[in-house]
Amino acid sequence: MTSRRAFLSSGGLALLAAGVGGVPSFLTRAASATPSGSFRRRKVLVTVFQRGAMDGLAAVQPLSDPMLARLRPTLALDARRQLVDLDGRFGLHPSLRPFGDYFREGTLGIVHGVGSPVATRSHFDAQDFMETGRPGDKRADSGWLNRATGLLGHEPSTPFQAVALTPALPLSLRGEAPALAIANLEDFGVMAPGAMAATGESLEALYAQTAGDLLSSAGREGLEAANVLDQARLDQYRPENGADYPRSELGESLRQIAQLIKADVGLQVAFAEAGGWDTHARQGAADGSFARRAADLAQSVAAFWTDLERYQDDVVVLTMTEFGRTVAENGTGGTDHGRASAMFVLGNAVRGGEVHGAPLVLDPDALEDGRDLPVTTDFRALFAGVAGPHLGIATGDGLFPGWAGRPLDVLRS
Amino acid sequence: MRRAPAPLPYAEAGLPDEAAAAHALNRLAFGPRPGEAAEVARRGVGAWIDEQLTPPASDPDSDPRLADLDQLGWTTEEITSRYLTPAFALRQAVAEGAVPDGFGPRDPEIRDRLQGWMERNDIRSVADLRRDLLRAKLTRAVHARAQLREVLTDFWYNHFNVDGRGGQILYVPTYERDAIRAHVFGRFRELLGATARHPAMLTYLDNWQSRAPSGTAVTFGRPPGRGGINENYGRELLELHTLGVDGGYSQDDVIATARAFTGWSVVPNRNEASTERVEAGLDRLASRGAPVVRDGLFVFRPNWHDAEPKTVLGRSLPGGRGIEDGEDVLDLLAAHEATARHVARKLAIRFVDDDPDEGLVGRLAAVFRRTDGDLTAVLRALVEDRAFWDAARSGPDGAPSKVKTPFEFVASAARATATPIEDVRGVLGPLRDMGEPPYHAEPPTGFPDHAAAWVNAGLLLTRMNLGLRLADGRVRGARPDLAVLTAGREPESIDAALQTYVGALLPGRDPTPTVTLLQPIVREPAFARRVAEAATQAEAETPVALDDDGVFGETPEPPFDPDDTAAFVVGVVLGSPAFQRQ
Repeated sequence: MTSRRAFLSSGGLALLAAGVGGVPSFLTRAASATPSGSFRRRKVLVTVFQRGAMDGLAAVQPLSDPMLARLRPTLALDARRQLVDLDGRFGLHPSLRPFGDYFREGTLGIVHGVGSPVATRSHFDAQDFMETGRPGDKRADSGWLNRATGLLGHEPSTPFQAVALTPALPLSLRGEAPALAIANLEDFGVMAPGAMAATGESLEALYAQTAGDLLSSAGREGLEAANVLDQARLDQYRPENGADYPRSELGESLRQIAQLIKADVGLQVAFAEAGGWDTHARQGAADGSFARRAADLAQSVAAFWTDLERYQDDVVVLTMTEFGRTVAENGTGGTDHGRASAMFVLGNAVRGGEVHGAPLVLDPDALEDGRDLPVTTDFRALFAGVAGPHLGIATGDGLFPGWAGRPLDVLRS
Repeated sequence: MRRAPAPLPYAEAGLPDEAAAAHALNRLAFGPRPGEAAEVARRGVGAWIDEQLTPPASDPDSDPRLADLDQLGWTTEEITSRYLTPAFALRQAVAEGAVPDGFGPRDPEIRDRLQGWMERNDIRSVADLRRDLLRAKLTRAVHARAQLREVLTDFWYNHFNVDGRGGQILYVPTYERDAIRAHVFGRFRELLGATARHPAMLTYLDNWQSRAPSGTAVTFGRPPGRGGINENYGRELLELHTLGVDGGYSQDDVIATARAFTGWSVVPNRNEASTERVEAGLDRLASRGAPVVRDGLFVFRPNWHDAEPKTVLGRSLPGGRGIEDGEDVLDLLAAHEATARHVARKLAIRFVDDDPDEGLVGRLAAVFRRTDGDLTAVLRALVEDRAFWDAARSGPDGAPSKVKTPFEFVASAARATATPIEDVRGVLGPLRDMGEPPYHAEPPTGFPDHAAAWVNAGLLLTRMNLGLRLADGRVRGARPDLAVLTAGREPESIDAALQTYVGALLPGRDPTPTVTLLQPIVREPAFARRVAEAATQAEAETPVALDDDGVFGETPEPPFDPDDTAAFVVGVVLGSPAFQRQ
């Protein structure tokens, strides 16, 4: 595949112009203003939002808490026969086994007891608070990943600086910095080649002339992006190192993020999501609905990490979920909405092999409202601790307005 | 006696009759069909709206097109017993000895034998049901005369969302028909009650298994040995269906609500042995005087119902009762002030503006409360409100205030180009890519109702592309009839074509900005040649030579071809910013 740098310097620009009848404005900017090769070593933050609130205790279970089996008669796993022992204190759900390998290698860190300081058990509110990074402020309408993009300190010379592999732009990426949502890269790049190539430039102009409107900026960015992707021939992508992506929503999204990273189009902030974590009933233990979701998460991330072997120094993967679930199982073999959950951070600079966060105590007296794992790590501390050092941005008031906490020390400096 | 409708204040909003008709068709219908805005203006906008608010039960324009879909009239029991997943069908066929054991449904020979067994027994595949349901939804959106009923069915289905993934799709036909469509012009309490009892909702939000925890007094018989409550339905009932996320309820209210709905369950219908066992158990309970309630597959199980006293939102529910607990909670919620505001705001968002004026929300909420949740009265108040008509020009540069959702875009493009959709497979992929595959919204919140969630680069590209392909007849199963747009008269020049199609596709709007925007495109020297190239696709990827200064060299202009031009100009208009607005 032609890298972006080679493409710009080898006359690819002229070919592109020929194909669509005009040079996209961002490309001319990039070609004239950017020293060649400067995209190449930029860091990429890849985020995975697990919608529906993952049961952190099912994912990362204490190995020897006497309350667990009492509170979860059908959901708790056997510490010796079923769990993947991490550090003598915690065991991993067997479906997350690939994460255990990364943990032992020292590239995967786990943070337990993460959540929002504002107690809400509404998915609606909790997802918004986590995505805006402004817990409690319901009027906030910009996402923390969008602000992180704005703090990168250089002009977005590519429409692919911040990309969500989702049909709709998630709140995390809404805001002043340009961001792109793409449901499916293949369709995007090769979309009706004849008609789009014939009209691309003209429709770009059309949307550009629509003043001050949501439709205007979205249309312009989309056409610029489509022009680049057409050249990158992303439809011929083959994963490396035998990486085997699950044919799931998340697997597809991560495969496409890997494509964008390798296509060298200047990606720095990426967003993927996986639904189905709202396990109110028949959650299952070693098998069942939770196990299937967990296996999809672990296999998708593992395929991505394998595929990206050459780029691992530049990439960190961070998972997020809006809250955790009740410590006790409910009457239907599931769990209801709770408070804190567990999150994963994968990368060569991660302080891996460690379960970060305060110790868990499952005694009902120690639980919030007598039922939920209390929040001992503010999610902003984790996000700041990852995004700050990795992307080289300041994580104070600009990233999380009104927050004066300390970033969690989860990456090696 | 019904009061005479107030005059509609669209003239005050500066809208001539045809612009008002077009606005009404854009908001209360899935967009105008060719010539329809003029026709509605001639007959009277008020008269058309009256018709839309009081439609007859059957629809003369869409029903005949769906006559072959007999399952649309079936009961939930009939659907669940005759539509099977391949795996389930195989099990049943093996049990009846029609297919040997030990093979999977993908084995070619087994598949043929299974197919034969299914046809002989009139057993159908779940995948067919999914496709037929989408066909019915699109057919009604495109063709139904009672358009507002279809718009409202879409709106309320999304409000009371049920995800039709997997086997859950079997409950969707009757959920949409009996719980939603049947009540969209009725009272909110009836709509709420119908969704609360439907197996689709009871299974989607897990309430069907929720029962009194052990040690709790139950309405009849002994408390169940194991089990307990599930909070999911109770929480979404408060947060999404009625009060709204800021409606002033607490976690204790969620738990008390969940307890009030213990025992609201569903008779399993996929396995005859377990159905018989459950029904025998219920008959036994009933014969001993237990207040069992059966209504289709809905069942109230008095031996699962938590009969302790409860308090919901400050209202005490005495102990020892049964199904009345849930019904009382529904009454309480339907009459609550927060519900009136929540429903009023959602309707204002759908019909007026993504960020509606609080004054409008308050006026609609007041009507909701005064009329005991009469949804027709609320809608009438909405169209009699200046805000509804101002929305035709309150967007940027005097454009309409709202952007179409992906489904609204597809339906309105089909209506605008007189395109019957015979096969839904061509539009299903684009709808999925735009984030709105019908009946497949996973979270209980349904699909987002704000443009910010679905207007972005990727989605606009999909829209433009779909518009171009639709107009060009390249979407499978969707043949447009562009001659209808010009009453059979072909425009004689490309400029004339642009004027004609902008006027026809965007009736009631000022055509000048759109014509001005599109003119450079259609006049571009290389344009017609490129369109011709695109259409033939013969040498698709051949780059065109550039002059040294990066400008296209002279190429002879091909003769004007009205057919290609019509499709292209229509496609460009469908992909233009103006057509994205409603």
